[in-house]
Amino acid sequence: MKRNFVNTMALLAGMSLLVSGSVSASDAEGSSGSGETPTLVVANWKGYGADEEFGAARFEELYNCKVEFVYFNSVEELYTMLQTGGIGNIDVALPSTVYTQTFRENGMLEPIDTDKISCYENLMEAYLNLPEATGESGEVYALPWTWGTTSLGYNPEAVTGEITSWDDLYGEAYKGKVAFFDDYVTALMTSAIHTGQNPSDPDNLDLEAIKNDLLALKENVRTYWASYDDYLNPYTSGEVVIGNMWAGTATQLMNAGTPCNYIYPEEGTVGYVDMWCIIKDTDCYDLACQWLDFMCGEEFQYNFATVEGNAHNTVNENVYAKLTDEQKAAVWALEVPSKVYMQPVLSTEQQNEWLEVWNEVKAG
Amino acid sequence: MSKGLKIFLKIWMFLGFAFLYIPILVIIIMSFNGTAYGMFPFKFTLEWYPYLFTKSELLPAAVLSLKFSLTVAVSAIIVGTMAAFGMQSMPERFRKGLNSAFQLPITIPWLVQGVSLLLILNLLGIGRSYFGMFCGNVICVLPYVVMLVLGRFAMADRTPEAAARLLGAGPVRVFFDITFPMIVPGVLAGGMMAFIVCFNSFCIQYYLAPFGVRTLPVEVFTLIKTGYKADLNALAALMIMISLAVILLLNRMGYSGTSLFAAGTKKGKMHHD
Amino acid sequence: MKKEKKKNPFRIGSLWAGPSVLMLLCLSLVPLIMLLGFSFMNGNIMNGVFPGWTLENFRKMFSGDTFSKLMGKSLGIGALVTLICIVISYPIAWGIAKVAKPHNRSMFLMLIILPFFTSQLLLIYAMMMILQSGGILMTLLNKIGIASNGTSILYTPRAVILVLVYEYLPYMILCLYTSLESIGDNLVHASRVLGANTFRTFVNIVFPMSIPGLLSGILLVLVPVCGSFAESALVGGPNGMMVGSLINSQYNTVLNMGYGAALSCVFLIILSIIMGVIRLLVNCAEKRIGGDTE
Repeated sequence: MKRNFVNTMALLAGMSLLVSGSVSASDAEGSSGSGETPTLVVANWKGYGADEEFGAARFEELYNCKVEFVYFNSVEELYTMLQTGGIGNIDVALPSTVYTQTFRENGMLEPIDTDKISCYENLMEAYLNLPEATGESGEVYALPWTWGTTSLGYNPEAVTGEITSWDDLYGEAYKGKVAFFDDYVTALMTSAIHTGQNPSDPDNLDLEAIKNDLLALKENVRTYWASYDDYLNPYTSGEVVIGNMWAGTATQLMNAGTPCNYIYPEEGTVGYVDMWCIIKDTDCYDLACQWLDFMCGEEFQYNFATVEGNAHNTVNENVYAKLTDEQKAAVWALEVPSKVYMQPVLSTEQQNEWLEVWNEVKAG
Repeated sequence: MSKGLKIFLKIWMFLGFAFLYIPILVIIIMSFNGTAYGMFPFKFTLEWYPYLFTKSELLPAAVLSLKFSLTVAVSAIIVGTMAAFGMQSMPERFRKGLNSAFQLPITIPWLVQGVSLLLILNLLGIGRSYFGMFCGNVICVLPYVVMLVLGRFAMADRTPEAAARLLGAGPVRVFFDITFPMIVPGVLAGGMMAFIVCFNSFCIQYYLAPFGVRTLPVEVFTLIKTGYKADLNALAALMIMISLAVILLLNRMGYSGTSLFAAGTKKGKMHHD
Repeated sequence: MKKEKKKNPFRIGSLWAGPSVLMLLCLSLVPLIMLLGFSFMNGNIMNGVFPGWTLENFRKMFSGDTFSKLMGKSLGIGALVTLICIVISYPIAWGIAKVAKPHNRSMFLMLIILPFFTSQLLLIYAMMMILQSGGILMTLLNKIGIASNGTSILYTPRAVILVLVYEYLPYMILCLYTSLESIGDNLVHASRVLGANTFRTFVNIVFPMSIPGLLSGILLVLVPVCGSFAESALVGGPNGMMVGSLINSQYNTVLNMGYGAALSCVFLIILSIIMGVIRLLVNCAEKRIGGDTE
């Protein structure tokens, strides 16, 4: 009996030693945040440009500070994060058009002093002064960083005929070989475009028609993808030959070995703009402005637009002018889409309604 | 038992264990595969292991999970053992009622448990936090500890305690010298279950972990959804090796699996093994 | 006569259970009651502002057939997974308890627990690797000629069932083992001597005595499976959505806490009723067949 007891104590002691050992090991690797160097807390998607070598690491070098990342998996998560303690802790964040307006209206953002942004003049007109990012009296609340589309991609070796329209996803031709984005906003918008409606005008949409349209599409869908990986495997093995995807996905798929063509269907395509904004009550406003300047500036934007296999569209005029045709083709920006529908701002009821439709389609 | 039945059982058992272990073997093999996503052709490489220790996000998440689960397990052991001990002093009906009450966190799906706790924490203003995650995990593993320690109490012979008290030992002495060693297998089993359940508990941690904090299950889920590299395999292989070592060590020290999982009452058995 | 002496142990000793009871109340019972309250809430509480009471959530849930369809599917998958686990686990648990040599038993049990030590999600991911087209299983089936090139059962409800069985099998085996191990060898031997064949021995002796383990096994498998959403999200494909995903989308996609709470409550009630029915049925069967009741 006593031997058991002693053994137990020894075991517990051993385990606690092991744990404290690994604790000190992991603590030695990473440094704890507070120090004399100012820290900028950045909220972003994981692996989305800012945490590359030419991003945060370079910024830390240039401005002698520390950059700490907080990652989110969806913009809703970012919203909740900010509401439950993020304000005051997070300094800059990257919402997309949809939520920029929500953040602004809820007083979660600081106006950006454009005098402190040296590259402001060089940003493309089309993405400046978007209504979501502009305040009552013209203050700028967010800076565009990159834009993108969720358009039609396909494997030219596996499809017959020319692909020019969203119609090609439906019908018998590619039954069971379609991949579709599992995001209720994109899904409903794409379907709206297909049924001839204007997705950027959510108040006038026929949701019933959209639901039936999506249910018809579901017959053909092999998988609803949520990330690049969901695409890679079925695509390279030939299970999926066509579907909607981001431009970056198309590039990555090509680099993974299976050819991929990315086109903008004639009916129009869904677009988004990701914007940097400064969160209210930040304790390092100037550093935040410098971050925005860096992110939209020539050096970073050029790297961002030309990095091998994971390039993104630039919003900086000077950078766009420097790109070769090849590089533009790599981000599928040689041919500009005719009609791009930006994601609209939805009221809470509309969000719930749209999600309800999407859940009905998925469950049905 | 007939020979045919024995052979059938042995084959069935072999197939069952094979089913359980083939994916694990696949992971271990794939941790040496240079081709991404575990696809063929197979290229032998050792690169994932150093990657795991230097650039990967998985190891910090695993260490965090380890620390956290240990904390939760220890707390659950303490509170659970106290509960089982206290329940010995209660009248039969009350004890049964409390026992059923303790089944509650297991009976309700963890999704609901996590979500309801999140709502309350939001209301209190605490929201997602280490404290919240700790509470959620502790309440989910507590039933296991209580169940296993109670089982041990039920199975145990109480006369040594009575004898000790008769001989004049105070309650503290009785507890440490007699009661505790008797229930130690139950406490250990409970602690082990608590650790395992907390280590794996995806639902609770997904809802209650502070944003930006990633414990292992949440990290793996995120990686699978957004893009993983084969260091995931390396981590899994390492974890399996370590667990195997711990199990062998425990076995050496005399804690056999059978005594940990022995039933509360033995029906129709003539000897103890 | 002895009443006074009996009262004392109850009061003092049982105080030890105090902290755990407190935890149970605060962390489990109270949140559940509040969940019921939240389900009448209209949306989300943000910045301390309460959005108001409404019956809208329940109306929405029962007007369309999304919830009922998903609930049915989840229960169906749960039942199937549990049944498959039971069928697979009985021989294995019996084998470990009776056929394996005593000094091997420990090793077998530890082998069953070992997969738990790797995060369950890693195991799902391992299954995905095996099941994917181009992966091991499909390549094998391809060579044999059963499956054609470029297909897989991944992204179908079948894959969800397979993965769930894989995840929860150890729980069922352990629970059954705990009960089966306590059945005395002499009982089985006696039944054989008296002329019963294997089947009758099982039905009349083994099964009734394994009921406590069976019930805990069902509890530990059915409940989590019905509420799972990670597996169906990863391998379920377009038709694999379960009710857990619906609830999850309310909390993580649109922040509609009220609706999410309402869904959770109804889900919980339905599940509890089913568990109660199962318990009743199993106990009835036990009484009919004969054997010890707890």
